[in-house]
Amino acid sequence: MLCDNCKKNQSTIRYTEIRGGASHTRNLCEDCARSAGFADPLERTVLSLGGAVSDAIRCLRERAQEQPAGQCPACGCAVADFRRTGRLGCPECYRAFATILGPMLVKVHGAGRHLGKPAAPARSGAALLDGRRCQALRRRLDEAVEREEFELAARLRDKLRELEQEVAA
Amino acid sequence: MILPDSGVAGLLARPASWFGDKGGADDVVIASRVRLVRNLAGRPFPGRAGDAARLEVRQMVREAARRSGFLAGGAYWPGEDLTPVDRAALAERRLVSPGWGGERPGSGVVVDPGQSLSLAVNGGDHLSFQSLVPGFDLIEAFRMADQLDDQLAALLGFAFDDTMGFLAADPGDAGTGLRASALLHLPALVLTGALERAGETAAESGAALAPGWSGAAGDLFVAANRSALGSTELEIIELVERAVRQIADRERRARQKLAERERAETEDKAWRASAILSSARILGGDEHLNLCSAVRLGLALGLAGGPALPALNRLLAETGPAHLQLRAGRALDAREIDQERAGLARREFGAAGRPRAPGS
Repeated sequence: MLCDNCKKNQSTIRYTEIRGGASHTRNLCEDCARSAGFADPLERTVLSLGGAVSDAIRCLRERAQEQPAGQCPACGCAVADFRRTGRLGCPECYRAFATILGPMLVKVHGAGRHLGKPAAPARSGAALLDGRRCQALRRRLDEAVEREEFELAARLRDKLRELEQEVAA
Repeated sequence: MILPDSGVAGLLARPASWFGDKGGADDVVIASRVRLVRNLAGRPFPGRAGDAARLEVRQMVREAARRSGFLAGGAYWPGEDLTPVDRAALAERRLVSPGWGGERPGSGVVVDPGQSLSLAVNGGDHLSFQSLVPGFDLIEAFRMADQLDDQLAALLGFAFDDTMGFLAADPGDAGTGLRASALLHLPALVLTGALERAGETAAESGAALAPGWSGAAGDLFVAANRSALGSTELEIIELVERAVRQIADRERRARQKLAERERAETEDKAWRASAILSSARILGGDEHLNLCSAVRLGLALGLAGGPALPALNRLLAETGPAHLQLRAGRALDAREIDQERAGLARREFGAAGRPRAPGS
């Protein structure tokens, strides 16, 4: 839904005002809400009201949060852009579109959490990798012997020796 | 060290390490590749960045590549300085992915002289770099790509999130940013109709098997991991290794079966193919791949002669339309490309000891 005020941006905030017993609801984008003087209009409303009205507004707020945020604040990439191209606009998009990306990552990758190397790798992975390379070479060597490819086996054996010496050093 | 003015044609005139001239060629697994994508923190991805931002990123990445030990001696070209044929030839050589976006301002490519490491700047992501080795050696490919990653990470701040790992323009690459793949020659699985089963086996272990060329020409396929998030890099490498080993074992068993049950047919097919390759004057791309497939199978079973595996691997790249045009030094139309391809095949199969037809 577009912002009721600027009619340009996606509305991300549903603002409900109770005036003289009647409620007025407006859908605003973040910019318009801020320039209208509401740092977080929903929070304020919820605080100033009690009981059933407050619950209803909380419900509205939750529904608003379920909606994907319309636009990435850093690069301006819209959900529609992402849906059309399959490409995000910038690293910040991952946070801006977290609600739709979370389930999508789980669907695509079967997992949602990174377990690979860290951003600044501790250089201790080398030993692990060397051990793994020895294992892989040994397996290929066994396979080569089994297939009676002795020339290949000899080459693999030399490579393995070399690597083992390297690791021992 | 490559002279910058020798151009892409100069680089590609030299054999790529994945051809296996220096050893490592395999009759089923032609090449192993590990690719990593990375992006710079706090900057829009290339698809959303303006020209100025893309140029700035390219400058930073180029500088980092120059200072990294691995790519310091590499050849570098800004994408916009390359012709469409240059760019397509780099993809045919498997140094960049097809449609890597080299035509857009601010893109670029760095290739080490042995063509085992290459890096594309401002394609879909700020950096996409790969290690490509002959035969079945994903561990070695990963080791090289991983070390290059460490070198570049020390010089550039990569976009990273504790939960989602390395952030990529395509969420499908998020996490490790890793794609491990192997180029496979599977003629016996195709002939015996067992390819589908092999694909299912690969899928069960979390890998995907897809045609390497459109229409599965030449019985060439690519096995790769399907997801990049939720596993360590080594787990992904091992998963693809396992899948490739299973598929290669099936292929070898199917080849043995062919050698036992359809020996004469397989032998006949290989020799006929090599006869056409040594004498044809017009050779389409798919036709060439399919004929080479029969020759490869015959070679592997010791039923037929022909060029050695490294020469066949080189042909695989060099008979691409862009390679043929670079070699000719001019643009060729479709008919001329088929003629040039036939000429190249004739030279290769003639040189392999086949009787030469008059005029070839």
